[in-house]
Amino acid sequence: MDKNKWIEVNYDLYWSDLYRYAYTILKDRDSASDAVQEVFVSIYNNYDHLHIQQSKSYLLRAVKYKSLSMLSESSFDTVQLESVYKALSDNEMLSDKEAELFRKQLVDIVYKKAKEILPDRCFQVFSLRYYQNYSYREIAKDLGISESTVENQLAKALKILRTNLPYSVDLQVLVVLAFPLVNC
Amino acid sequence: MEKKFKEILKHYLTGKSTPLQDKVIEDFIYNMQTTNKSSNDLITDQKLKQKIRLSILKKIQPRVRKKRKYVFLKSAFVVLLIGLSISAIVNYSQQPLNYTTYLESKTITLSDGSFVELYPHSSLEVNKQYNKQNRSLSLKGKAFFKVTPNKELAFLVKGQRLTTKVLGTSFLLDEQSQQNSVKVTTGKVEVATQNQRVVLTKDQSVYLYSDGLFKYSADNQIISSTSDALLMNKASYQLWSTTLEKEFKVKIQTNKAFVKQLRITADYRDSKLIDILDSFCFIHNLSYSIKNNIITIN
Repeated sequence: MDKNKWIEVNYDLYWSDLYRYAYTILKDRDSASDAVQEVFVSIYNNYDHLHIQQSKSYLLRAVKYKSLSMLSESSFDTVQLESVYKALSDNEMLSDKEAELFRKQLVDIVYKKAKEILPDRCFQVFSLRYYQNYSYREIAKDLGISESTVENQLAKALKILRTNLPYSVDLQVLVVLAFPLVNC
Repeated sequence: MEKKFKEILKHYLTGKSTPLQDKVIEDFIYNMQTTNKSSNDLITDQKLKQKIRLSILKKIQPRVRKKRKYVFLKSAFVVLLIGLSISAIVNYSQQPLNYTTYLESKTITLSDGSFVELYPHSSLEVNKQYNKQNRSLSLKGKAFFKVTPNKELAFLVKGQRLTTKVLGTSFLLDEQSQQNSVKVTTGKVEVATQNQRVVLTKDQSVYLYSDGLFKYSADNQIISSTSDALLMNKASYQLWSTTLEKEFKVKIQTNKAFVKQLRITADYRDSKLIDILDSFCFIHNLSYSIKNNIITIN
């Protein structure tokens, strides 16, 4: 098949899948577009030397490598860090020191976001619970509120954070990762 | 941790990773896919599709200038070629040039200044001797031509079924539509198939049907060919009517017995059907009516 036609036909068929795949890895729309574009341009320029049997799997593989290559030159966001943490720890490639460093990173991200978006009283409860390791009873006593109010405020804080942390960080996972000593 | 992962990534991308490192990367991608809820909300619409596609085209086809259609239409010398496959050979440089379009038109300026707008899904080949020994092109699909006058070298566009020859004019050749056609905007154009040859002037067009070329005037009326069959000398009514039926794709009928006895002498070449009928009926003191494609002589 003529290379122009190959590009046209396969772009028409698979561009959406390829774009979504690139976005999954890169978490950035412009970068995902660039990855898709560069893969097609590269295939066009090297078409005569390529022997492509299965277009879709070839393109997905190419987009994967291109996206990973672009990722290696950019800074990770929280979702990417979380995925990295999970992949490394699942394969036992993370030292205690590295795991601790990551937890601190997450704690810092969550703290900054909580301070920024939570109502004052809510942030106070959240902070006492997760950053000072207070129990429900201690918080209730300290702030002069009931334990059920503490519970409600924490639920509210987690709900707000879940919808406001960048790229929909799984906060339940994050809390366990970031605050392992806290008895939830 | 990020640094460590990037080291692994580097090995992975250069093909020097261990199986364990491969697994870390694959796990990472899997984690991204399973935790990445927001990608479900990604908008992958036509606008985005077009945007990425254009950025690809921009990088792979840098030689071809793009121009909006309306700019082209403004020119008094625009040539519309619709429905014809034309092979054109133009000598733009020492190498033969090939242009192919997919979803978008391209505008091409040839070495003699002639202008081509290549419609989508078409291809044009320019002969390497273009503007030196010939001005020949090969076209598949559809294109506008604005031809720079040159009395020494005729401008010849070869399609799969039609060949168009001009000295300097503008026309549209279309072999994409159901009926291949050539429409002349200015000047004079000769269009030929293997068996037929038609000369078109300003505002005339020719369509290729299964039974041959049909020429049309500016008001969209068929003009007869220059076939000798239309030069009649005491032809029978039967011959007259069947010849005209074939020429104009109509049905001619009469219920008058004496009309069927008539002998007709006339030159019907390069004429409109209306003019022929007017002439025929005037001479023989008859009248006619046309309903759909059926002509009734009374």
